[in-house]
Amino acid sequence: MNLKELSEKLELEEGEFLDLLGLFLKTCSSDLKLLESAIDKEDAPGVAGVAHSIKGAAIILGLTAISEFAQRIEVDALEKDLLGFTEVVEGIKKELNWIAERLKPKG
Amino acid sequence: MGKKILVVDNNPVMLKFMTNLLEKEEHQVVTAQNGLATLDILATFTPDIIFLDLVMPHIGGEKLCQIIRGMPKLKDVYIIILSAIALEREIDINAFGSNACIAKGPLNKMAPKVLLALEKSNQRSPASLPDQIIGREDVFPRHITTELLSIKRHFEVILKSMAEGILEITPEGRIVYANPAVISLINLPENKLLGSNFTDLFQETDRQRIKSYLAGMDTQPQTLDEEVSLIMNSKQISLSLLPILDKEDQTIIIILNDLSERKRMEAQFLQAQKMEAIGTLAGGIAHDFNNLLMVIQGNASLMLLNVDPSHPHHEMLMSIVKQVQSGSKLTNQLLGYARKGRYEVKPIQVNQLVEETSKAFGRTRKEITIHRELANDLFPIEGDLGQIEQVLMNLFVNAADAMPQGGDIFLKTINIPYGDIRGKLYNPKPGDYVLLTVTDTGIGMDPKTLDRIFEPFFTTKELGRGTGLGLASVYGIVKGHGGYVDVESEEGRGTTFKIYLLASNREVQKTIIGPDHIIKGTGTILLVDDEGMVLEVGERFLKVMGYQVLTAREGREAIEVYKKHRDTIDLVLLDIIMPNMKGGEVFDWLKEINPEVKVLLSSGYSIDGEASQILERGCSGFIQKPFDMNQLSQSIRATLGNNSV
Repeated sequence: MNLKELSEKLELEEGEFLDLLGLFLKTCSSDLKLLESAIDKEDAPGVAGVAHSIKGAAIILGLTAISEFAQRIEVDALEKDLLGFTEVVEGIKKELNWIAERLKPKG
Repeated sequence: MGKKILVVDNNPVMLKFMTNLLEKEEHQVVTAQNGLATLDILATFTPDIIFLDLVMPHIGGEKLCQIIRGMPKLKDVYIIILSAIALEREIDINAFGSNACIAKGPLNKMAPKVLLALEKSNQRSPASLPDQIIGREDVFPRHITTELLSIKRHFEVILKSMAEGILEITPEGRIVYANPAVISLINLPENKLLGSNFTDLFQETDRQRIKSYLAGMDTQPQTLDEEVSLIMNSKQISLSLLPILDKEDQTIIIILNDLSERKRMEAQFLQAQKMEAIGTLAGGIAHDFNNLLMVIQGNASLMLLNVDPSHPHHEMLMSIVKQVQSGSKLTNQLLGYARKGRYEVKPIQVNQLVEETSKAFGRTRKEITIHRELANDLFPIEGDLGQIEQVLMNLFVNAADAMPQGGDIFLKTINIPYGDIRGKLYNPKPGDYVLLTVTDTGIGMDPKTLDRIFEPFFTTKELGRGTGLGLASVYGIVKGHGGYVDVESEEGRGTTFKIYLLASNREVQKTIIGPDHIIKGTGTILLVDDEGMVLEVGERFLKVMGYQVLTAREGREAIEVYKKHRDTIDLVLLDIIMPNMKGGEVFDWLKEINPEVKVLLSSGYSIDGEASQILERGCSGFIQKPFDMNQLSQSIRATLGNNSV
């Protein structure tokens, strides 16, 4: 799905949607750092909390892939299983990079 | 017409979306990302509608909603909860004061719900208030969130159950969390506490210090120990500061402990130790002083026997005797305080004593009206009649002195079952108690005076009027009887003393009052005392009474004399406090020699329990120094029986 389709699905003008997406990118990138720090400290409730935030923010913008990755982390963290997050976190990063690429000014 | 709308959410995307949506509808929109920022905005901005997220840092939405509802200018503001968790928690949105709730979901689904809620806010009729959450159908199941919330709730329960006060403050010192213990410690409602400045909770003089501590916080926890005396809401507290080093949310957790009770107990303990030490000193002085008085009293009494009442010296001698009696009363007060004057313990009916002493006192202080409310079924107590009388008289004098222009004294007696007294701080012995309450309508006392009233030699009376021994002896005597004293007082509103005395199971015996003259007798008495002058005076007394006298100046000599003259000695008059061999040991030896020996103990005081222990071992009687010839002759008569006449 491209950004245009996403904005149409949310019934938002493209310009407004891109603004919101820019904000999401900024917030989510900083949340991701918090997530990685919590994983390093093996702070399971902390991991679950940040993942929950990322999931919530992704859902309102219809970013299904990110919300599903975040949900997997949240579920595992609540079950105190903090191993094997690398791949999932990389998945979120990849999605954020994809958005960042599309938000870059062209030219 | 456009409305003034405040949107509160920690997600910037949500804030931006809401701002765009509402501004398109020509509303004025202000946003905040946490609870604290919201309170700052509300100080100057009065919105018509507030959209509020539930899960936020620095005061969550639920608490914030309650605080907003407590603000008079915002009591009618329309509050719409904007939350994804409302579904999972099954929260009652009306319970904490919100009007509506929209479940967060994809923006295209949310937009019409937001506009619908705005429309409903216009209607404002209770019937229009939704009891269900708008947009529930657009949110997919979130069982995971429920689990996350249950962890949060679990921590909340722990914090709520802690006895220590817990506060969370921002690095700037603003309070964002307070557990119930701290709310009760500070005694401010939660909605006033949240958002306020932590340093403002302290006295003006402590605030700068607290600010310095907070400014100097590094990454390590620190505790401000008891020496750093901090007062909050008139209580002394200790603080532990724990910095929370979360990258996103740096706050400081503060643990507060109320030290007031512990400090009070420590002060009480120190006070008790001080009283004990002064008591020992006072008791020693009283003992020596009584021996001196004994000699003066004795010599004056002996001289009076040979001086005609018309002789000018007779009046002077009478004056000496009178002054010795006054001195003896003073030493009795000291002994009372030192708890070393319990000589004759027997069951006493407190009501009768209260009635007699208060009537006698009332006759001397006409400006005082005495009211009595005495329990009919009052238990007897175990006590020394003279000392309990001393307690009553001291309390009456104290009450009357607090009412120089006259007033009322209320006397009340009741039975107190052990269950009602058990919780008291002084750890009472098991058993039923008798409570005597003495209340005056006098000037009362300030807390500083109240702290010191039982100290010996402490007086608020002018120089020469008060000895500072009255209440000290009340304290000592009641303690010496295994009882407790409570006092309540307020400046200008009078004072109440509560005396708790252990009830007795024994029946009260009628007191037989002896004749008021010397009872002469015959026989031989061995007089034992280490004080030469006392020995000399005592010997003369006994001879005047008609007895043959043998003397000994210490224990071993007494035993030798007794061994030699055991067939002729009818009675031993034995001092208790002597060097080398004490009276108790001498008594045991005499008992060994003759199990039927008759011994009358005498002392300037009795070390608590010692006299009664000797009496329990079969000793015949006790007489307190200083005594006059009448008292001695009556005690000898009581010990020897009628055949001594």
